[in-house]
Amino acid sequence: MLEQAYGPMTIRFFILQAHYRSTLDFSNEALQAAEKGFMRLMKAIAQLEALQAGSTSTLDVAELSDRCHLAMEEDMNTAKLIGHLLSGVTQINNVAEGKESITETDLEALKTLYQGYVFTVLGLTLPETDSRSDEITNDLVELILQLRNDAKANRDFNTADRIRDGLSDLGITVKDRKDGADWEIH
Amino acid sequence: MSKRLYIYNTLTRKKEAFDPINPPFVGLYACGPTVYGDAHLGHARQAITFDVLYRYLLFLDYKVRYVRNITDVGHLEDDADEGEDKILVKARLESLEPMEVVQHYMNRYHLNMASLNVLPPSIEPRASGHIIEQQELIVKIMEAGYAYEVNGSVYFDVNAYHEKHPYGQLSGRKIEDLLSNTRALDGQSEKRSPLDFALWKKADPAHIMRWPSRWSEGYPGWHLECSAMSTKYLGMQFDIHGGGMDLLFPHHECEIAQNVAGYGKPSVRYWMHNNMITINGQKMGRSLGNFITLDELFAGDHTRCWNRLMVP
Ligand SMILES: [Zn+2]
Repeated sequence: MLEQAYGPMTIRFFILQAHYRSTLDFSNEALQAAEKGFMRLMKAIAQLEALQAGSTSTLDVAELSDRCHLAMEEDMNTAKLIGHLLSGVTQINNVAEGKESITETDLEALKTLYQGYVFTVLGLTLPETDSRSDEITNDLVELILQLRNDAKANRDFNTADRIRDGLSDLGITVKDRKDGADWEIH
Repeated sequence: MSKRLYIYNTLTRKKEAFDPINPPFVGLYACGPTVYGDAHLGHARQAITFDVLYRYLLFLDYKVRYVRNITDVGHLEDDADEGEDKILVKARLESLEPMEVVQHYMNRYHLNMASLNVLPPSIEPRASGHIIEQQELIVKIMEAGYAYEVNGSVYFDVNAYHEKHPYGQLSGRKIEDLLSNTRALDGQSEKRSPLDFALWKKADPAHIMRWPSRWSEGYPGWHLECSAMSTKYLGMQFDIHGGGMDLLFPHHECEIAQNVAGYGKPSVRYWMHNNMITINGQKMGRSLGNFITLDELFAGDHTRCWNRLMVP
């Protein structure tokens, strides 16, 4: 029944993408679509922090804000709210690409709007891990430990210890075993 | 920010302007889980629905007291007050104390809710911790003439109640239809009518979750805890009562009858119900065996344990 693991925020987003009084049908496709939508929203929020304000606004923040309020006022329609927030994402992306512009005041209002609805009201949080950068971190630690192993094989214990202490300073604990080493990131 | 909010009230079948009894305070009660198994997607939907309502009311600057209970006694396998306590069945199966089962699944429920970023409620009362309050309500209902005792068990008298107050308003069911759709009582039954429901059940010798009472050593009926605990913490009248649509009947219908019978008037202003999760169009549920637990969904995700470097 399950094609892959789904993070708690994907589940939360999936559930909130439907109005609470509608039935909600589970399927892998629906959850995968929810995961994409959620990531799109989260990327836009990260991007919002880096946006450069201009002298004019081509987007109507007050109108978007009204639509969001209205969606929640009308029997807590989180489905509509998320729809409005995602339509705003397209415009945020446009500003980032220089196709649209936004004033300082509007940018602040837009940030407040997204922070308020996405984090405070919908209770979504930034995804806890990024699997690609986790993978790179794992590979890097493995590579460093291979080098340390080579150093030990060459009886260069000075270097081996420097590597272990350096990793420890980065919050990575190494435990030596007969057949290799265990490690853990704190 | 304006405080306009319209909510669909299951009781009136209309969207109504939300008008709290005692602003800026809002009393919100939602039925929590019966803790005898892992939480599934259906639990997540109910918890998230009322979490967002709680968050939104706070966002609108209301001062909210949110009560969400834990059912740890009295939820029987079958709605007709027959069958065994779900927690007791699990305890026997696993050779555990019933309260070990309760603690285990309650802890896991809390972990799942934290992962989903569901805020903890203001108060999380447990049915087993409110036996006295439930007994007091039974006494009130009996004094009002809406309950009767048979062999140490006490039943709510739906027919007596229906003569004075309409029964079935919330779920839109007519008492005649309910009667024609319910199995007739066999000769063994202690009930006067098949629609009657237990307020107190005398415990069989094998039933180890039991408390003393003036009627018998026994345990409360499932519907009673929510009536007793919601009013204890939110007052005789409070704003919103929520739950899944599967609880509308009989659970919430019985709750209303108990409150009106015992306290003289209904306690809840707005009833809110979230809809179900389906799988391929079919209702999902523990009894149907097609549910997906939250841990199954999360499996493989963010589990960082010891990594091992193997030397070639
Ligand atoms: Zn309840």
